[in-house]
Amino acid sequence: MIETRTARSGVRFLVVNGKQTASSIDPRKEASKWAQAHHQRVQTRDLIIVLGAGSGFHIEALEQQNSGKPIIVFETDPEILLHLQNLHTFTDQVQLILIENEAALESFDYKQVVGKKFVVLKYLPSLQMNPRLYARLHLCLTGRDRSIPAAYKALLPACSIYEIENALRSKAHLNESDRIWLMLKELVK
Amino acid sequence: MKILVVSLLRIGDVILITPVLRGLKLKYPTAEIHLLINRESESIAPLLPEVDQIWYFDRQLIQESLGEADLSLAEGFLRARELIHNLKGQKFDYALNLTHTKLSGWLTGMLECEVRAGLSILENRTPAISSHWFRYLNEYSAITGSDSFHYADIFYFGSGLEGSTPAFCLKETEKGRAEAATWISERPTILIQTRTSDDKKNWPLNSFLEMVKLLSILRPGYEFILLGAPHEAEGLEPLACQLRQAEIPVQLAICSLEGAFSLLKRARLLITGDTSIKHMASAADCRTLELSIGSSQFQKTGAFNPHNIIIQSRQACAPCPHNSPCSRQTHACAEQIAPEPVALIASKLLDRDMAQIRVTAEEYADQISVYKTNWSESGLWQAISMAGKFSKSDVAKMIARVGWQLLISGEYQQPLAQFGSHSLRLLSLLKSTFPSRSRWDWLQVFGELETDLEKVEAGFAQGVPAYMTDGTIDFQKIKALRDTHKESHLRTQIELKIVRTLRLET
Repeated sequence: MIETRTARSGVRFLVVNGKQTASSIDPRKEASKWAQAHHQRVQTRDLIIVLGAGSGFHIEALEQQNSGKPIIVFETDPEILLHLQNLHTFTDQVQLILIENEAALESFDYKQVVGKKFVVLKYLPSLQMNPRLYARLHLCLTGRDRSIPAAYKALLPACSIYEIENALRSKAHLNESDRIWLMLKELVK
Repeated sequence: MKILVVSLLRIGDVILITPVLRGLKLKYPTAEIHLLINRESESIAPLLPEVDQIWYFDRQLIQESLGEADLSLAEGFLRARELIHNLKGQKFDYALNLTHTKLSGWLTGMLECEVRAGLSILENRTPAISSHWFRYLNEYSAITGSDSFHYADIFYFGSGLEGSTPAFCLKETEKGRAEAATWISERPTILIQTRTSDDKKNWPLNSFLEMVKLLSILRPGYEFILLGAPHEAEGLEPLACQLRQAEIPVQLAICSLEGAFSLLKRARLLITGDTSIKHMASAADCRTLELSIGSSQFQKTGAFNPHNIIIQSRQACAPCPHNSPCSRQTHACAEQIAPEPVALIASKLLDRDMAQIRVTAEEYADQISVYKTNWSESGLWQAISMAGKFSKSDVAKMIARVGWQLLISGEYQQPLAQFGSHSLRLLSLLKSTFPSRSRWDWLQVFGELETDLEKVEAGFAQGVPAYMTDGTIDFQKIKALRDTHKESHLRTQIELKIVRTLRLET
């Protein structure tokens, strides 16, 4: 169940199944600090991916601190996305994507993110609402899941870089991608 | 003609290959020379001569994308693939890998060029090594230890360059000159780089303090400049303060590599344990007193110019392996090098007084080993002990080095192999290293070595079994074993010929 409450600072925020998704005192101030804490990691990336829409204040803060940089927000609860429309008006910089279940996770078009230089930021109050799905989503987005989405499979011939040598053991002649992965394996020893 | 040279280690390693860059330019004057280095070595780029284009491998970014959970694993792959495609697009005629890591081997193997030298790994996983020098580097350098050749020599001669002695070369920049002008005064200068990239290689700051105090007494007219990178400023400030309190003329120069090189061009002496800065000093023709501490292996990466001095402690554990922490309770190899002999030797090095350095080396021989650098008669760099104790094993090591050289260069195959001239040069080197030895001593030691080598030679006659010790047949392993066996046999025969010639010539 989702309800809207008013924080001491006067802005409204969401409470999902009795759990707050933002500060009850000053959600904007809290969100600004959150975005500031990630500033250095975000600075060098071309795309920001956020797991969890929360009450949207952290998205707003990211938007303000990283003008023009695309932000993709993944949310697992469709109701939260509906409520957010009443709380915020995001610019075109922000894209909200609903991943409601495993099926949606499988069918998502990962080409949107695979070739991009992105960082995944986790909004913990949201993650606590659906930890398993968010954890899988995180692994799929970064290409580190055991059952890698097809968009990654085309690039990575094993389920992780640590298993690359085993995966290629039976191949007599390696193609360019195989050789690049074997080369990169040397960096993660 | 387009040439790509690959050097994917640290800044010091990039400086090590500058003789190759110059040699290639001399050998192929119209060639376009490209260099591939790590992005982290970018600061050396303005100083590199003879390079038409520099490519960067974003090692840290790629490593981050592979290792950090919140970044895309594909990013590192795509970044590496883009670089490889860009390099392929250049259509290089010749790729020369001077890194000798698997990573660089895979990368070089993927380049579609007519000739590849150094390590390259092909699509069927076969490693290809083009020259005997690189084969030596790949297979023996790690185990030969104190007999090893200097990496700069291996790279230079392995690249097929001949005719002159390799020399480091960097070019001074306007930015560097302007930076150095801040610290340069009328007084002669001694530069000191106290920190290295590895704590194990550091001499304690307190030892530097005491050494500079003593050296300032021995050399009252000199000014001292403490060199450091921006991230070292905080750590060096207290040392500079303490020296100023002792009324020693000292400046703290926190500068770029360009600034450091310009300072080296104008300094009389550098005292350091750091690899990059000592190689820069060689390029700047600045005399160097090297403190070889921890895992530092001066035989492979020592101050390259002649007439430099290297000091190493006599701790049995030195040099220690690169990748493991210090095994002792205290940093014994650094602590055993006392400030007094360092100051005394530095002072004498300013006068180029090798005789007095020998006296100091003998006086402190229980604590430190002192080496003088020079070129051997055959054009290879060497570090000669200034107070070496005469022993059969030391003589054997020097003979083995010449044996390796004859084997690697293929000279032993010439109809008139150079055993005679090499042995004569070696004899002259042995006599200058151990001047108090009599003819009788030499005859005795050569006789003993001949007997030892004859025994080894007899052992080779037994050959290699056609199966492994566990009874299995692994043809690849057996072939590798036979090759090694054949090579060792050949080297023993060469050494035997050298020893016999030495005996005749004594």
